[in-house]
Amino acid sequence: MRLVFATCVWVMVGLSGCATAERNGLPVADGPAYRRLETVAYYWEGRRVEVTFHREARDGAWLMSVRDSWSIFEQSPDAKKRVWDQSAARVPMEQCLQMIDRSLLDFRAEKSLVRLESLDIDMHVVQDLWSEMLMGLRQTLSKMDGTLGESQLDVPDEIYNEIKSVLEKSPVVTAIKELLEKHGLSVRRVYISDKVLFDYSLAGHKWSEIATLPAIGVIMPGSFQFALNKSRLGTAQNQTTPVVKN
Amino acid sequence: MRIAVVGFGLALLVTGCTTRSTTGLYLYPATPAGRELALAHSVPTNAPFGSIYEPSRLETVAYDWKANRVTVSFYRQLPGEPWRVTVRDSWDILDQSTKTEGKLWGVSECRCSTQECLRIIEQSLARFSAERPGAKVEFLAMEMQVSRELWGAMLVGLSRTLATLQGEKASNRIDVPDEIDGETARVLDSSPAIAAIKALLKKHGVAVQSVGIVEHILFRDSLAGRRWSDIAALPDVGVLVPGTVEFDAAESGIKPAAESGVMQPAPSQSAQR
Repeated sequence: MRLVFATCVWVMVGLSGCATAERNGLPVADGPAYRRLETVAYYWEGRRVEVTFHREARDGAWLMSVRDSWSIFEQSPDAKKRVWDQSAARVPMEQCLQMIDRSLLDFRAEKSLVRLESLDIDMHVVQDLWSEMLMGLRQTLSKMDGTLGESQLDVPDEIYNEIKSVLEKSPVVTAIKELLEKHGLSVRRVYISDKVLFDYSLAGHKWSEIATLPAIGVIMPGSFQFALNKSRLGTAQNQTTPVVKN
Repeated sequence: MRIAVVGFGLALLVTGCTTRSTTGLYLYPATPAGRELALAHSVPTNAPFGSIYEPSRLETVAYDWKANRVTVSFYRQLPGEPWRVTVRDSWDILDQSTKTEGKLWGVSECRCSTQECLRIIEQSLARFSAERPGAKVEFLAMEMQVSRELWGAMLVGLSRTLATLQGEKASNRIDVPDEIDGETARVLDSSPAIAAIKALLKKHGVAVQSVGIVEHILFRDSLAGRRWSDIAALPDVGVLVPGTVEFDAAESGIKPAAESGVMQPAPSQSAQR
């Protein structure tokens, strides 16, 4: 239940979206009048994957993310039809690594002295990882007692622990860490940034029943993050160059 | 061509307010047909990773003016290109129209007075020129409902024009009579808000070559078959999506804030938060 509070806060922020103002009129005197957001995005249209670098402060560190370019929030209203099974995953591990590699190279070429703070990845973007996750969670759910609660946020610790365990053992996570190191970025830790959420319409169903569903009732695949030590994006060594074919 | 470019630009900044957001460059298709089409153009996930899959790029610097819920975005696709600027409701207007039951685009939905709009644009230009000295601007596009005076005049003008129109609204959303475009252009030509923004841009070194509509006002599908004269009587004259006006700047360089008489913003203002 450790992430319940954090997820609540995150969901509230997400729901508030852009409508940050309370009223029309002059800017409030006791706070900043505006919010700045700087973004550089690289988009692989055919793959529907987007690698984004963003920051708020002009002199701040950059946050990097690898996302399904169709926002999972936008897709979620279709959740009844949207099944986050293996087919929802976007790219194999090798391609994901190439996208990250290429994005880091391009970004460094256009911005000098780049400091990166984190890399956040949608859990379902990498086929290999999502497959491991579904398999691990299915096994865990099948052994769990009890039922899915009314609250989407009320996810048992066993599930959280299984996700952590899959991430710790995943070759995808290891490969991404190695790639980041080649770019001069050292990983401080890897953790779940957005938890997997389950379809609330399954509330009251036994976890063991949910384990048998095609995508184990997932409504939001969640994401994980590589927290980076304060380091600059440096010279890559032994970089993997994107294969030019076709 | 320009319509496509601005349409692309206005799709920006669903970037929204959180790190969760995508760029909005390629939004989730709203209809099943749109999704099928997009999927049909997707590359099979096991296809080789090659040059035809080179990524496209989008760079954005956005200032979200919280009190007015207005976002001013500077964006471009390639380094070295001039910047395109949008002034828009922070909450995507198409999103508002399609996801808010009974949404009416009356004057109460406007985000700022002319003076507030001018201040927001001026401060955004000043901040942007401070962080990107020598930046050039290709155009500034503004959603018409952002300015209370402009949108108020537009609703009055449209109501008057629609009241005299013969016929009924077609089912095709883009099939809008020429008289409506004519009235829109007339309101823009005579608008003090438009004149003030032109003057402001000139003061900042952005020489406006022309002003025109780049995204037309659309009317609600549910009004298809209704007489235009009946639609004229509705509080927001049946608008589904307010249009966008563009100030074409032909790649003018933004003057530094000091030269245009604007107080130089502190570089670390946003960093202090």
